[in-house]
Amino acid sequence: MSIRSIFLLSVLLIYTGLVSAQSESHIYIDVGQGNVKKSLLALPPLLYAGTQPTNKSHIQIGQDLFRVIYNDLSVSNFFTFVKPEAYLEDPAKVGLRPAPGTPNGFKFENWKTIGTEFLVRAAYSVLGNDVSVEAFVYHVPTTKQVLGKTYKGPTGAVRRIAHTFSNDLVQALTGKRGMFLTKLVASGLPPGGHKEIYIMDWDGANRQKITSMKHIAISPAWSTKGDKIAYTGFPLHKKEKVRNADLFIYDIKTGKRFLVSYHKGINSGAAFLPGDQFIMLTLTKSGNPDLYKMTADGKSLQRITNGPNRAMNVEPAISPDGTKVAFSSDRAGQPHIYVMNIDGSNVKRLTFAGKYNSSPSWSPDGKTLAFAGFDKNHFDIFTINIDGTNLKRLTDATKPNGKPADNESPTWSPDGRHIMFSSNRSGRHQIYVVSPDGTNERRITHDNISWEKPKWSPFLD
Amino acid sequence: MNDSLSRDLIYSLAGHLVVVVFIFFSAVLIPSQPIDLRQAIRVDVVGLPDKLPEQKLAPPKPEPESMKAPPKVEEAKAPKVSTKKADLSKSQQAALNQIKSMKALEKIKSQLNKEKEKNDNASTVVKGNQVNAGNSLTGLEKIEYDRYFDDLNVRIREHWNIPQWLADANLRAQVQVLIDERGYVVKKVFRRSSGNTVFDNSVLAAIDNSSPLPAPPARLRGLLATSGVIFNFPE
Repeated sequence: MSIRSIFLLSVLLIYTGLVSAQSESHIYIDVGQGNVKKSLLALPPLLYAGTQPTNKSHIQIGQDLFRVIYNDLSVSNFFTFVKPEAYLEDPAKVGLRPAPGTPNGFKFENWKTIGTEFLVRAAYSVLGNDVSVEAFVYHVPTTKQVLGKTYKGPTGAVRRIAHTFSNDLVQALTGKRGMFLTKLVASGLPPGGHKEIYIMDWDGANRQKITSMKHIAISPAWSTKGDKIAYTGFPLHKKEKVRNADLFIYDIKTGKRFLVSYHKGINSGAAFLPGDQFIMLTLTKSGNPDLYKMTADGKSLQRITNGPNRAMNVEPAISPDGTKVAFSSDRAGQPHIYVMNIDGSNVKRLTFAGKYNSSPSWSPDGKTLAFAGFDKNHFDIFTINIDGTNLKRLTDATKPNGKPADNESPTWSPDGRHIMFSSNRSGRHQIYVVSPDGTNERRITHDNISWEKPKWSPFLD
Repeated sequence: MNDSLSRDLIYSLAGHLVVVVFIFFSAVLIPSQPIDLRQAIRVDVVGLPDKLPEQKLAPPKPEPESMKAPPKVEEAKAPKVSTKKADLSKSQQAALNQIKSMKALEKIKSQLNKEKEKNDNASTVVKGNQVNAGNSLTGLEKIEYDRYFDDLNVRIREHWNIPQWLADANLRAQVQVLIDERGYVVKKVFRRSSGNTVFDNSVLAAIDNSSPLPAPPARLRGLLATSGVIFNFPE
C-alpha cells in the first residue's frame, strides 16, 4: 500500500468518524420505571355448552371452575375485575367468539366502552365422568385473541383444569410460567393431635397428610425436582430408649419413607442441593449445631461449618444455582443471616439490623433473600438484596387482641412473584402469601390447624 | 568451689537487677502506645425498617386543561367615587395624570414584549451566512437545561402506565420526540421497539398524554424542533 493510499484511507476514516459523531449528537433521557397498574379483566361465569344442566353436580363443576380461576387471577396481582353490574351485554346470551364472523357473537365495543382490557369467554360441558372446557381470552383494545384452548379431564380434575388455564393465561401475557399448579408442604398441628407433615395445593386445597409419626414431625423441605420431601421426626431409639431428631425422606410417588440421618442429637433443617444428590442439614453430633453436606442416602458426610467459638450454624438455604448457602448463625452474639460458598468458604454476614434474624429463603433469581426478623417483640418478614442493600419489611399485622402478630418462615414461589409465610394474626398460625413489594397479602389456609414452616414446591408441571 | 558459686550468684543477681532497672526506666521514660480496647467493640444492633405504605397504583388521569377552572382574574377595582364636595378641577387633573401614567406603563410593557419576541426568534431561526449561537451547556445555562430535561423526564414518567404483568418483562424501547417551541410534541418515532405491542403502546400513550411538555428554553428550541429528545423506556 502506497503512502498516498494510506493518507486517503486515514482521511476517509477521520471523515466517517466525524460524521458518525455528529449523527450521534442527541439528547438522551432515561425515563425510569413507570407507574405499574393492574389491567381491567372481565371474567363472566362459564357458560354450559349445550342444554343447561339440571344435574346439581354439573352446575357445581361450573362454579368450581369459575371460583378457582377467579382466585388464581386475583392472587396473580395482574388484574382488577370488571363488576358484572357494569356489563353492557349479557355474557350468558352471547357466544364465546366475537361478532361479526360468529353468529350471536359478543361485541368488542360493549367491552371497550366500559374500559375492559381483557375479556375471558369460556364454556364447559360434562359427559359422563369427563369435563371439557373451551376458553378464550381477548385483548379488547386490539380485538386480538390472546389465548384459545380446549381442556379435557375427569370430573375429579376440575381444579387442575382451572389452574392449567390460569397458567396458560400468565404464560401468554408474560412469557413466563405460572405457579398455579404448585404445592406447599408444612408442618401442621391439629387441636389435640400431633404435629405431622402435610402437602396441599398452593391455595390450600387437596390437603394430604404424609406422615403418621404420632409424635412430632417438623421442618419439611422439597427436593429440587419436587418428587421428595425431607423432614425431621422424633422416633424412639429403642436401644437408648430416647427419642432423637432424625431426618427422613418421603417419596411422594411411592409413599415410602426412608431414614437417612440418625446421628445422636439433632438431624434437622434439610435443604436439597440442585440435582438432589446432596442434602445440607444441621447436626449436633459434635456437640454444637453445625452445617454438614450429606449424600441423599446419608452414607457420606462432610462438615461445612465449625463454630467459631461454639457458635450455632443452622437453617441452611441453598441458592438456586447451588453455589452459595445462606444460613443463620449467632457467631456475632445474636442470630443473623450469613452467606457462604457451598464448600463453607468466604463467609459473609448479610444482616446487621435487628436483634434476631432467621429462616433465610432465596428468590428464584438468586438476587434476594427473604427472612424472618425479630423486631419490637415480634417477627416480621423482610427481604434484602444479596449484596446487603434494599432491606424491606413486607408484613405488619396485628392479632385480634391488638398486639403485633408474628410472621415467620418465608418461602418464595418458584416464579418469584409471591412469598408464603406463617402468621398468627388470626390467633392461630395460618399460611399467607404476600407480593415481594409487601402488597397483596392473602390468607391461604382457613382451618383450625396450627401451621409452621411452609415450603413452596418447585414447578411441578 | 564455694567462692566460684557465690561469685556466679552475685553476677546473676546483678544481671537480673540490671534487667529490672532497664524495664522500669523504659516503662517510665518511654511509655508505649496505649491499646484502645474501645476500637475492638462493634455495635451492630440496628433497628429493622418499617413496612412501606402500600405502593400506589397509577394515579388517575389529570383533569384535561379545558375542564379545569380558569385562573382567577382579579377584577379591576373601580375608582372610588367620593361623595364629598371638592375642587372639581383638581380631581380632574389628578385623573388625567393617572390615565397618562397607565398609558406610559402599557407602552413600556409592549415594547419589552416586542424585544423579547425579537430575541427569541433570533435564537431559533438561523438562516444564511450567520453564525449560530450554539448550545453550549455550561454554567447557568447548563443548570437551566438540566432542570428542563428533569422536568421533561418527570412529566413523561408521570404519564407512563405499564400493566403489572409487563412490569418485570425487562422490555425496553427508545423513542425520538420532536418538540415545538410551545412544548407540543410534533413528531414521535420509535428508534427501537420493545417488540411488544402493549408496551410500545404504553410508551406512545405516555408521550401523547404528556403533551404539551414544558416549553423549551430559548436556545434549545432549534435543537428540540429538529433533533428532538430520545427517551429510553425505562433506561
